[in-house]
Amino acid sequence: MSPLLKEYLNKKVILVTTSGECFIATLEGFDKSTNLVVSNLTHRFNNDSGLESNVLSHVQLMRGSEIVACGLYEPTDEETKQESRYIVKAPTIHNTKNIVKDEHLIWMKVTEDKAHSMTKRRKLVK
Amino acid sequence: MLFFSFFKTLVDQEVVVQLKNDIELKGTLQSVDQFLNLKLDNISCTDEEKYPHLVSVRNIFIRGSTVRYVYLNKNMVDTNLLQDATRREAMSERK
Repeated sequence: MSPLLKEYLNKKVILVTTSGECFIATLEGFDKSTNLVVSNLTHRFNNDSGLESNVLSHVQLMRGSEIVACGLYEPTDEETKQESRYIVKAPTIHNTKNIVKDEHLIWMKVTEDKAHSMTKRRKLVK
Repeated sequence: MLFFSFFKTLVDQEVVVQLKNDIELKGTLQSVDQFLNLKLDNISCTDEEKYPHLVSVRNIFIRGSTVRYVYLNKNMVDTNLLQDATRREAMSERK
Protein backbone atom coordinates (compact mmCIF):
# COMPACT_ATOMS: atom_id res chain seq x y z
CA MET A 1 0.00 0.00 0.00
CA SER A 2 2.52 2.43 1.09
CA PRO A 3 5.78 1.54 -0.55
CA LEU A 4 7.49 4.75 0.55
CA LEU A 5 9.59 3.01 3.19
CA LYS A 6 10.72 0.20 0.92
CA GLU A 7 13.99 1.91 0.07
CA TYR A 8 14.91 2.10 3.75
CA LEU A 9 14.58 -1.62 4.42
CA ASN A 10 17.64 -3.15 6.09
CA LYS A 11 19.24 0.27 6.34
CA LYS A 12 20.04 2.47 9.31
CA VAL A 13 17.29 4.95 9.99
CA ILE A 14 16.69 7.77 12.43
CA LEU A 15 13.31 7.57 14.10
CA VAL A 16 11.49 10.44 15.73
CA THR A 17 8.54 9.53 17.92
CA THR A 18 5.48 11.53 18.92
CA SER A 19 6.76 11.70 22.49
CA GLY A 20 9.88 13.53 21.25
CA GLU A 21 12.38 10.70 21.46
CA CYS A 22 14.94 10.07 18.78
CA PHE A 23 16.46 6.70 17.95
CA ILE A 24 18.74 5.03 15.47
CA ALA A 25 17.82 1.55 14.34
CA THR A 26 17.83 -0.80 11.40
CA LEU A 27 14.50 -1.01 9.61
CA GLU A 28 13.41 -4.62 9.24
CA GLY A 29 9.82 -4.26 8.18
CA PHE A 30 6.79 -2.00 7.96
CA ASP A 31 3.13 -2.03 7.04
CA LYS A 32 0.66 0.42 5.59
CA SER A 33 -0.04 2.13 8.90
CA THR A 34 3.68 2.75 9.42
CA ASN A 35 4.02 0.15 12.15
CA LEU A 36 7.73 -0.59 12.04
CA VAL A 37 9.81 -3.56 13.02
CA VAL A 38 13.29 -2.35 13.91
CA SER A 39 16.42 -4.00 15.18
CA ASN A 40 19.42 -2.80 17.19
CA LEU A 41 17.61 0.20 18.58
CA THR A 42 19.83 2.83 20.23
CA HIS A 43 19.33 6.40 21.32
CA ARG A 44 20.24 8.99 18.70
CA PHE A 45 22.53 10.89 21.01
CA ASN A 46 24.64 8.52 22.93
CA ASN A 47 28.30 8.72 23.60
CA ASP A 48 29.28 5.47 22.04
CA SER A 49 26.23 4.47 20.04
CA GLY A 50 26.74 1.18 18.35
CA LEU A 51 28.27 -0.37 21.42
CA GLU A 52 26.48 -3.54 22.36
CA SER A 53 25.70 -2.27 25.85
CA ASN A 54 23.78 0.73 24.54
CA VAL A 55 21.38 -1.31 22.47
CA LEU A 56 17.94 -0.67 23.91
CA SER A 57 16.40 -3.66 22.20
CA HIS A 58 17.51 -6.15 19.60
CA VAL A 59 14.21 -6.38 17.79
CA GLN A 60 11.09 -4.42 18.49
CA LEU A 61 7.84 -3.27 16.95
CA MET A 62 7.03 0.41 16.95
CA ARG A 63 3.42 1.41 16.63
CA GLY A 64 2.72 3.55 13.58
CA SER A 65 0.75 6.07 15.56
CA GLU A 66 3.89 6.83 17.60
CA ILE A 67 6.07 7.55 14.58
CA VAL A 68 6.69 11.10 13.41
CA ALA A 69 9.43 10.62 10.87
CA CYS A 70 11.85 8.04 9.64
CA GLY A 71 14.96 9.33 7.94
CA LEU A 72 17.70 7.45 6.17
CA TYR A 73 20.88 7.76 8.22
CA GLU A 74 23.84 8.45 5.95
CA PRO A 75 26.51 10.44 7.75
CA THR A 76 29.65 11.68 6.13
CA ASP A 77 32.82 11.36 8.20
CA GLU A 78 32.83 15.05 8.94
CA GLU A 79 29.29 14.93 10.23
CA THR A 80 30.05 12.05 12.55
CA LYS A 81 32.78 14.18 14.06
CA GLN A 82 30.50 17.20 14.30
CA GLU A 83 27.82 15.20 16.00
CA SER A 84 30.11 14.28 18.84
CA ARG A 85 29.87 17.93 19.91
CA TYR A 86 26.21 17.52 20.67
CA ILE A 87 26.53 14.33 22.58
CA VAL A 88 27.13 16.03 25.91
CA LYS A 89 23.51 16.98 26.26
CA ALA A 90 20.90 15.39 24.06
CA PRO A 91 18.77 18.15 22.57
CA THR A 92 15.06 17.81 23.14
CA ILE A 93 12.29 17.65 20.60
CA HIS A 94 8.76 18.62 21.59
CA ASN A 95 6.08 16.00 21.53
CA THR A 96 3.39 16.27 18.87
CA LYS A 97 0.53 16.39 21.29
CA ASN A 98 0.59 20.12 22.05
CA ILE A 99 -1.56 19.72 25.11
CA VAL A 100 -2.98 22.95 26.48
CA LYS A 101 -2.37 23.09 30.20
CA ASP A 102 -5.55 23.16 32.29
CA GLU A 103 -7.70 23.13 29.19
CA HIS A 104 -10.74 22.11 31.23
CA LEU A 105 -10.54 25.38 33.15
CA ILE A 106 -10.66 27.33 29.90
CA TRP A 107 -13.72 25.43 28.75
CA MET A 108 -15.36 25.89 32.14
CA LYS A 109 -14.89 29.64 31.72
CA VAL A 110 -16.34 29.47 28.22
CA THR A 111 -19.49 27.67 29.36
CA GLU A 112 -19.81 30.04 32.31
CA ASP A 113 -19.60 33.05 30.04
CA LYS A 114 -22.16 31.51 27.74
CA ALA A 115 -24.58 30.87 30.59
CA HIS A 116 -24.00 34.38 31.83
CA SER A 117 -24.80 36.02 28.50
CA MET A 118 -27.88 33.81 28.15
CA THR A 119 -29.36 34.98 31.43
CA LYS A 120 -28.51 38.55 30.50
CA ARG A 121 -30.38 38.16 27.22
CA ARG A 122 -33.36 36.63 28.96
CA LYS A 123 -33.55 39.61 31.29
CA LEU A 124 -33.47 41.96 28.32
CA VAL A 125 -36.32 40.12 26.66
CA LYS A 126 -38.44 40.50 29.75
CA MET B 1 -8.52 11.86 -2.75
CA LEU B 2 -8.30 15.41 -4.05
CA PHE B 3 -5.37 16.41 -1.91
CA PHE B 4 -3.56 13.21 -2.73
CA SER B 5 -3.75 14.24 -6.37
CA PHE B 6 -2.89 17.79 -5.43
CA PHE B 7 0.28 16.73 -3.64
CA LYS B 8 1.19 14.48 -6.54
CA THR B 9 1.31 17.58 -8.74
CA LEU B 10 3.82 19.09 -6.30
CA VAL B 11 6.32 16.26 -6.63
CA ASP B 12 9.87 17.45 -7.40
CA GLN B 13 9.15 20.90 -6.03
CA GLU B 14 10.71 22.40 -2.96
CA VAL B 15 8.43 22.64 0.07
CA VAL B 16 8.77 23.45 3.76
CA VAL B 17 6.98 21.08 6.11
CA GLN B 18 6.20 22.07 9.66
CA LEU B 19 5.60 19.15 11.98
CA LYS B 20 3.40 19.11 15.04
CA ASN B 21 6.53 18.97 17.19
CA ASP B 22 7.51 22.38 15.75
CA ILE B 23 10.36 21.08 13.60
CA GLU B 24 10.50 22.65 10.15
CA LEU B 25 12.03 20.76 7.28
CA LYS B 26 12.83 22.09 3.84
CA GLY B 27 13.23 19.62 1.06
CA THR B 28 12.21 18.42 -2.35
CA LEU B 29 8.98 16.49 -2.34
CA GLN B 30 9.84 13.06 -3.61
CA SER B 31 6.59 11.17 -3.19
CA VAL B 32 3.23 11.09 -1.44
CA ASP B 33 0.82 8.32 -0.63
CA GLN B 34 -2.88 8.13 0.14
CA PHE B 35 -2.35 8.98 3.83
CA LEU B 36 -0.43 12.08 2.76
CA ASN B 37 2.72 10.58 4.18
CA LEU B 38 5.48 12.58 2.56
CA LYS B 39 8.91 11.69 1.42
CA LEU B 40 11.38 14.54 1.18
CA ASP B 41 14.78 14.52 -0.42
CA ASN B 42 17.78 16.73 0.34
CA ILE B 43 16.27 17.97 3.55
CA SER B 44 17.58 20.71 5.75
CA CYS B 45 16.24 21.72 9.12
CA THR B 46 15.44 25.43 9.39
CA ASP B 47 16.68 25.42 12.99
CA GLU B 48 19.63 23.08 12.89
CA GLU B 49 21.17 24.38 16.11
CA LYS B 50 18.10 23.45 18.07
CA TYR B 51 17.39 20.19 16.29
CA PRO B 52 20.65 18.54 15.22
CA HIS B 53 18.90 15.17 15.11
CA LEU B 54 18.50 15.21 11.38
CA VAL B 55 22.01 16.26 10.42
CA SER B 56 23.26 13.38 8.25
CA VAL B 57 19.76 12.65 7.02
CA ARG B 58 19.14 13.54 3.39
CA ASN B 59 16.06 11.54 2.66
CA ILE B 60 13.20 11.35 5.09
CA PHE B 61 9.78 9.77 5.39
CA ILE B 62 7.26 11.85 7.32
CA ARG B 63 4.06 10.34 8.63
CA GLY B 64 1.15 12.37 7.29
CA SER B 65 -0.62 12.50 10.64
CA THR B 66 2.20 14.49 12.23
CA VAL B 67 2.32 17.25 9.65
CA ARG B 68 0.97 20.62 10.73
CA TYR B 69 1.64 22.74 7.66
CA VAL B 70 3.13 22.35 4.23
CA TYR B 71 4.37 25.71 3.04
CA LEU B 72 4.14 26.17 -0.69
CA ASN B 73 5.26 28.79 -3.06
CA LYS B 74 2.44 30.86 -4.47
CA ASN B 75 3.24 29.94 -8.03
CA MET B 76 3.03 26.22 -7.26
CA VAL B 77 -0.73 26.35 -6.84
CA ASP B 78 -3.29 27.17 -9.44
CA THR B 79 -6.05 28.22 -7.05
CA ASN B 80 -8.67 28.45 -9.77
CA LEU B 81 -7.97 24.94 -10.89
CA LEU B 82 -8.00 23.72 -7.30
CA GLN B 83 -11.33 25.39 -6.59
CA ASP B 84 -12.72 23.86 -9.72
CA ALA B 85 -11.48 20.42 -8.75
CA THR B 86 -12.94 20.84 -5.26
CA ARG B 87 -16.35 21.62 -6.71
CA ARG B 88 -16.16 18.73 -9.08
CA GLU B 89 -15.24 16.34 -6.28
CA ALA B 90 -18.08 17.65 -4.12
CA MET B 91 -20.47 17.15 -7.03
CA SER B 92 -19.35 13.61 -7.66
CA GLU B 93 -19.79 12.76 -3.98
CA ARG B 94 -23.35 14.04 -3.97
CA LYS B 95 -24.40 11.62 -6.68
